[in-house]
Amino acid sequence: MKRLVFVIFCWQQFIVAEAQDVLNVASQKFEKKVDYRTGDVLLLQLEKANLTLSGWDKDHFHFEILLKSKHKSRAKAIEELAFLKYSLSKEGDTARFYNFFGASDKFQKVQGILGLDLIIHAPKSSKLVVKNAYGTTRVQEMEGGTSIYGKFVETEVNHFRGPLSMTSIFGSVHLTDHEGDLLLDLSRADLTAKNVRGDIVGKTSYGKVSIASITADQVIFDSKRTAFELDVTQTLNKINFDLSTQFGKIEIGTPINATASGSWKFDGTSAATIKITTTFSPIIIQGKSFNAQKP
Amino acid sequence: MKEIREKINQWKGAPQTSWSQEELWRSIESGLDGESKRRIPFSFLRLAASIVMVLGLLWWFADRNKITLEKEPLTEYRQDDASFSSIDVLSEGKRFITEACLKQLAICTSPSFKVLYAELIQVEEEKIALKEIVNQYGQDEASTKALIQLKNAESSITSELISMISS
Repeated sequence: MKRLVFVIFCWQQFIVAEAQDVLNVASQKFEKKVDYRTGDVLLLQLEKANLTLSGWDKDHFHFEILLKSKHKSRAKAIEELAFLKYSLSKEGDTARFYNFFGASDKFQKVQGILGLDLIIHAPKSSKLVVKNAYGTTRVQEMEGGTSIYGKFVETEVNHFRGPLSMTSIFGSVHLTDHEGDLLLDLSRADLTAKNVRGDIVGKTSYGKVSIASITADQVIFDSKRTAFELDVTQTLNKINFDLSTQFGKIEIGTPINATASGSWKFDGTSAATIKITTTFSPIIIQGKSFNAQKP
Repeated sequence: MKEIREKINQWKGAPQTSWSQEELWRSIESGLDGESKRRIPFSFLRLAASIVMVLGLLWWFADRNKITLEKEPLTEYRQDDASFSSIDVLSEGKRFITEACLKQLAICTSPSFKVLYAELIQVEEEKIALKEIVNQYGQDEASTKALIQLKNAESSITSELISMISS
């Protein structure tokens, strides 16, 4: 009898110990389809959402929505899952999706962790407006005009063609293989980009802009406390430079064959222009065959 | 009474009340010649249809709106690491800035100071917004990181404002 009690006690301890080391994840999955006509706009207003949006050749939007609730207690995880709400509608030429915290009491405080995974397939040419906060945004293989806003969001855009406008506050932005005009507004956000072709106009503060393999047409940054590191594909002599940094250094060429502090200008042999103004930070431009005289 | 019984016996249309064994079997055998028709009871069909319908509905709802349960390793993000509390050096710094500007120092009216001070206010507002999000969605890695970013921003802005006043 004593042995039986001991075994039961050990088993209970094992269950309790196991319960303390794991989170129970309750999730609910929905799939939706929305028709698309040429020129339609997809508007996404998200919070605490992990968004993955990919372009495809079909003529409709496809939504895969996964609501998730995590808690040590399974019952609590299931209970709090009910707080996650979303809405999907189409009015005129705009398909709109948004999610929200749907407790009846506005001041309800959850005990677990709630979130949303959203996987969307959209016709490549559809226009996008994405607003996300406290989550992640990943957009790929799109070609329409796109506007992305993120607050505390890690944003990633890959294989994108067309005009792109990005605003990020307290969140980093990663851009790979972009062809088209780029409009940036970054505050306390870093930008890392690779293979970028097109005009770039940016306003940045408290961050770092690092672009590898940029084919510059017009690159204009009006920045504050932002460090720049650009690797240009063109021969540097062809580019018009107008660089200025308060309390920072300027380095041009690989290997470095022009340095300056304060400001530096150079008239290139083509219309391509790089104009950067920043403060308290360096500007480093790397590229081929720079033969300019030292300023 | 006797007369009535006799009349009934004489009546040819009266139902037969007794049969010989032979007659009876002949009658049964003649009925067995044709193919018999098997009738499925109507109630059985209804029952089967109901079962199919219920199973269909169960599949429909179970497959679409089913709550899935899984387990994952526990990672806790404590507020101790990045507290919303502002009883620290930062609040002292802010008090210093407020008191200095109440003395109507010229630096407090300069455009660069005003821009920076507005940023500090914005960071304060972001902290309030983040607190609301944590209440609603819980504290995870992303919200902890956001809070640390805000505290770092608050710290750098505060020290910059102090150095502007002190210089």
